Amino acid sequence: MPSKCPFCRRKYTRSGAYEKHLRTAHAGLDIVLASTVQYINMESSVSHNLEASERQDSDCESDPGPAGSEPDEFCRDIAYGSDTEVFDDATSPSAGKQIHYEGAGQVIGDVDGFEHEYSNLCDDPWAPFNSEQGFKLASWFIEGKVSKSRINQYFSSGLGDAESVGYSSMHTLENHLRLLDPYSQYLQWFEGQVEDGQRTLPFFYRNALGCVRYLLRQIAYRDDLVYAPRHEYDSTGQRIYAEMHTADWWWDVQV
Amino acid sequence: MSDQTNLTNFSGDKKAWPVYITIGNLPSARRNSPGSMAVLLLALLPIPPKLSKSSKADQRQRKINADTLQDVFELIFAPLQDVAHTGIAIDCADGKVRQCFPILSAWIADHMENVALHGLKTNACPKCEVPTHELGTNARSHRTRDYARYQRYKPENQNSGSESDDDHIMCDNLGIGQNIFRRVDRVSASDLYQPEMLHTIYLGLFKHMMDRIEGFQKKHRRLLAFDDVWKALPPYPGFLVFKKAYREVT
Repeated sequence: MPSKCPFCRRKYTRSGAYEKHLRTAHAGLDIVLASTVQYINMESSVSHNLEASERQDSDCESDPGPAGSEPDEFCRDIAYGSDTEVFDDATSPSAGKQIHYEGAGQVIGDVDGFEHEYSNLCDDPWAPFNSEQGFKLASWFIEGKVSKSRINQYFSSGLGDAESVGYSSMHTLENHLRLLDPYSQYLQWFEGQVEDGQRTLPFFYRNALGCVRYLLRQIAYRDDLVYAPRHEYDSTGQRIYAEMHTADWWWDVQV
Repeated sequence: MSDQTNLTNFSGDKKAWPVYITIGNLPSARRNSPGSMAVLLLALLPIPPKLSKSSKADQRQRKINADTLQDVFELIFAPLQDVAHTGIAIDCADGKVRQCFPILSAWIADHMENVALHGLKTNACPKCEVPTHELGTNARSHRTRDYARYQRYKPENQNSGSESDDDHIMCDNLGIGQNIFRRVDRVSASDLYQPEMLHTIYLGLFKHMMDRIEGFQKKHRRLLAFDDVWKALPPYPGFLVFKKAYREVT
């Protein structure tokens, strides 16, 4: 059932198109919506064309005639008569001014063998499995919590094609899994004892520095990691506090 | 850089006390999503048994437990001690080596956990020396807690044999144990305190406050106006604009 726009006579079946209509045609209705429109206008030249083409093929428009040209005018109004308020988003660090802590996060060398490791990852993403199928089967086993004996049965009964998958028992699969996490030596567990005068209890711990090394080394985080603190400002010069690296603590302890 | 959850019940009435660790270099959205696996289990500790307040023997046992806890955490933080000053070269995910100074910067826990770790009584504030009867007022002028001073003060107090009221302000609200973070280098224990989102902020402060505000509005018939203002809050980095009024989602 199409949902009707409460402010005009249009009807929409897809939520995405409906939302877009609300954002563009009725942008002036709401402060919140108006501020999000600022973003859209950055790409307004593109969206104008898109809208025109989209209007023809999607959704049951009630009035394709004169009413159809209205949204564009609205859109232009807002685009050129824009408010002074522009809200920055933490995910777009290019907006606004930034001050960096000088010398922080400086590179002091290259990791041995990183290029090799990285190119291996690109050339053969399924290693140590020899195919995508082998990897997917393994993750299906693990995520489905299939027991070890059942996995062995799977191969011994000939259900699986060990040739194409690349492993033929739980033992070889476990070896593969160990290779998947080359830095697991950082996460070794240690056992300690506590005595409270009456009993002796065991407790378990990891090396805290090892944990930090492990996390910083994960290639999966490569694009997310931040190595230095900075101050961020929006276009009106207001300081923005968002992530840890934009606040004061890090700046204060940085050496 | 380190979180801790509250005591957890495992099956079979066994309890464990997990301590977690993560890094601040990751943006919070990435760090907090479960799939990113960015939070590592750092330690599993035994839980000290509950003890009564009255008996002398239990009093002594409490002291022993507090000291043991101190030793355990010192062991866990030991690898971070030296490198906090000198730094250490760590391989980073982009294939570069950087001089890193891993420093404990925040400890996320609920209030009971916090006061236990900071060696305070349960009705004390971990950040400043606000007296118990002023909690809930708008008192802002209180001194930040100086845990190093407490440490100097405590042994003298024990030598004199009794908890005297000599230095009333300092003695006030201190529990039996000592702050477990006090010997970790480059860490200011009073800055560590970070409220836990669910219990302290949402269920504690926020829900309590919203209940009162709603009651007030109902009385003055301002509920609708408040909903409009709520929905009209401007965006801010890391803040998702509300699409619905508070009443509609709770």
